[in-house]
Amino acid sequence: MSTLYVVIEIDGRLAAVDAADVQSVIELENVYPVPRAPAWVTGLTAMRSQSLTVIDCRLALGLAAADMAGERSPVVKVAGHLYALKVDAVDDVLEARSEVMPVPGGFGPGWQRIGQGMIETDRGPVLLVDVEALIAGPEAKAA
Amino acid sequence: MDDLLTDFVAETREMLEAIGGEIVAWEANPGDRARLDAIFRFVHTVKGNCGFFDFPRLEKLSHAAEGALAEVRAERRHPDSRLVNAVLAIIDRISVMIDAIEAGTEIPQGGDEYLVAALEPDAGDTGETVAMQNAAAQASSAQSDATGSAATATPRTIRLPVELLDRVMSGVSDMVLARNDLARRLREAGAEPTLDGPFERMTSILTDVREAVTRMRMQRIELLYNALPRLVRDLSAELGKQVMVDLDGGDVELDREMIEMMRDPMTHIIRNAIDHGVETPSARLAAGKREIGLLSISARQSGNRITVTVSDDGAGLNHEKIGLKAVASGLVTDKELAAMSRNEIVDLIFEPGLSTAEEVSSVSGRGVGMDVVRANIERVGGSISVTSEKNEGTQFHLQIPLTLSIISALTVSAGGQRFAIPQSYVEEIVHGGAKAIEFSKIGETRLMTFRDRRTACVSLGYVLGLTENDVGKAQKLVLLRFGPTELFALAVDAIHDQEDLVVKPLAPAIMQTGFYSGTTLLDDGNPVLMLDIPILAQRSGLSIEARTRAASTKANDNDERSQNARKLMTFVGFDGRRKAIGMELVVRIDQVVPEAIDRSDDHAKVVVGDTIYTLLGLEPDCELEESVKLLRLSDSQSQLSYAVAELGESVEITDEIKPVPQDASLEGIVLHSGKPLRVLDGFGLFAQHASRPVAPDRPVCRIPLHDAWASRMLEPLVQAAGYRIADADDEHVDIVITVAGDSGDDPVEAAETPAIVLYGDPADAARATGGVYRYDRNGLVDALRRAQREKVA
Repeated sequence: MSTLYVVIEIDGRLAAVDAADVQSVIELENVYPVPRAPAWVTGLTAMRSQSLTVIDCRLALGLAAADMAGERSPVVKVAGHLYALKVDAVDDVLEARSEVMPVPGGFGPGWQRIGQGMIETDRGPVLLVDVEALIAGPEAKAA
Repeated sequence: MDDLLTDFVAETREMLEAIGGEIVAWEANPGDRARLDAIFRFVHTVKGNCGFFDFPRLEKLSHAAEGALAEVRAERRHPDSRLVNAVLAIIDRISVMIDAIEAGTEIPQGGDEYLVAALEPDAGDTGETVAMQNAAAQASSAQSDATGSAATATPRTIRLPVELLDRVMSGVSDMVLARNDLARRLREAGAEPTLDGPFERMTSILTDVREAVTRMRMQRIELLYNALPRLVRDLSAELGKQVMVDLDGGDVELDREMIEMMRDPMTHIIRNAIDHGVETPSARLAAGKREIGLLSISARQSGNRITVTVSDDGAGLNHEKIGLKAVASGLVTDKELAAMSRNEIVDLIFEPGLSTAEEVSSVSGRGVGMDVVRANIERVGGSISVTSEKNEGTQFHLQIPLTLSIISALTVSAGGQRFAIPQSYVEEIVHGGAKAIEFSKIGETRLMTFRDRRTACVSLGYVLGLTENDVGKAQKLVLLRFGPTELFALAVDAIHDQEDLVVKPLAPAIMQTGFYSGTTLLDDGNPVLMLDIPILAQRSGLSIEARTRAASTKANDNDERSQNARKLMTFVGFDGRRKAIGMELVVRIDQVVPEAIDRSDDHAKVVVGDTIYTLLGLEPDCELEESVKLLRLSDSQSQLSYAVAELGESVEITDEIKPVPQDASLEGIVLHSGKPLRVLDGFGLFAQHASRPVAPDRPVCRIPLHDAWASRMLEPLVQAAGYRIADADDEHVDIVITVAGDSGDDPVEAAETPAIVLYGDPADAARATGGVYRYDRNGLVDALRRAQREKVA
């Protein structure tokens, strides 16, 4: 069992994204807002001649906005589009020490929609994030 | 050989190759329906394509084969081996003919009728055999010819999987972006002469490659357009309508597959437009429109989408009828319908099971509804929408995606952010501070008047929620055109640059906002959003309004263009004669009851609506029927009504109109379809009868009678100054103009009448009281004004 996960921090909690999904981790600077776009879409930014859509993970989870977002941001590719995830911090790349497990009692509102399960790591239990659900934003919950 | 023909040959070849296997398989198993269909499609396509060219023999052959195969498909005929042989012989013959067409040689003569005869169920064996041998011989001889001239036989095309092309294309476009990035870094690093040369070279090679790659999959939409005029002609002839087709944006390129995909939906929409949209000529005239309907089809590229707009100026969709039908077929409930807006109701035409045609006509009622059209377009990731205004027409907007595109765009900024506008929409750029521009505010709508054209003005910052709705002198205005006639002004803070941009699709979350069609990186590496102009206009509620306004300016253009060919409206007068009047004077056609006409005195009048018009065209004792048709004529200042016994059609006259000096009411006579047509003198009509408000006490001026110079030069001038020219039997006049030294036989005026004396020599004029030099126009006008003021005082 050697799947690698990128551990990130959202709203003070640890979460993990499959490292295979993460293209790179970039420094977020120069984000260009998109007028009339949903709130969790912070804007566009550029990486190596490609444009990325920046997603504010707190807002995408339906949580309150916070200024404490870190500089570093993982880049993921979903359905051919590149997204930069605005998170509190990019923590580490770790190996999972367990299979994906359900969490007794669920993850709570917001998190429930994006959670695939829980994995054990050296840093303790971490929520495994469904990136596709995350970038769909809080409104997708209703659907 | 022209391009079309090359295409035809290449396409037919391609199909021949493709069905080569099918033919063999069909021969082995004549009952195989799929093979039969493939072969049927081939002969059907060949037949269809022949229509464009003059290949009667090819057409006859493919038609015969199509007919026979159709019988088999309808299961009226069993595909026996003889039929299979006959069809194969025809396909061989088609192949030989295609070779001949490509080589530009004569098509081998004779034998076709045997081939056709062999298709008949009861064809005699003899004919068949002869034909077979004949065809076989020709095919083999053609083949040996071909080996002789290798050039014709070598295939000049190869087939590639589309995915491979896609990969090459996206690779090249990424290369363009990388080049832009490199260019920026080079600039930042300062001048590096050793690098500049190779970089320039790479840039130019990349430009070439990019162009070639783009063309690999792209074809001009003209390919689709080419067939449309014919389609429109045939349909309108079949339905007894007159429709003109206006094609715009034929140079827009799109994926070949997309063109094929759009063929059926477009055909369907056009059929509908002609069948249900455009009214019959008489109905159009009655509605005050030109009798010839206009069908405009335009294509624009915007970001990674192509917008094709099909618009007609017909009756528009009847939303009440659509609503009733939707309720009747259970699509919506009465309650839901009541809550729906007109546009929402109109959109119901895309729902399955809704056809508003009262009767199923042979043209559009084939059981294929707009729902199928929508499904087909959505299948390839496109969308379709409709807007319609009663009596003004209907527009269908088809949006078709491109997987990738490089387009030329204008970058602008608003509210501190940059945006890109596809260059294809940009008509003109004006500075808000320019003197020629006036802004006005009507309700919440901002209008801008520029060069006598009034357009809606939209603030980009406001639409995007960045700034207040301020449109002012400090801003730049981009006049944008979309569809064939729509126009509006977009106010932005600044205009930066025009660049070629590689547009990439946006993430779905941003796409959903509808304002953007894509994103791209500028040379400086920053991302910028490409605006979706039609949606932007639609969201600002502009579409229909702007359309009609711009359309009126377009009508004027047409008039200018067709100066040589005069358009006349023909009719039969109450005197039973065929007459015509300039179409430009006819503003509408009224129908009134005889009671609305007052003929009690010399000057007939008619009441239309709340207005009384001078009525012309009646004969003194003519009988009036239950309703009288009137042509409303206008010289743009006043209106007249002209009664006609029978309405004719509008005709274009290029022949010279022969003057008829005997009849002052006529401009002349012209021959039309071999018969004389009396053309009314519109100018004279208005000069004589215009009900322009006339000052009752217009002063009278006497000018020398029987003086050619006076009547030609002086008279218009004096009239323009507000005077009436005195007749010989006018006893009192307000002023008299005489020419010095010309005693003449003019009546002598009372001594106190003011007089102006015109002198042939400026020096004499200066000496005499009331003297004016005869070519001193201003002096004369001044003198006339003075006299008029004195009279009033």
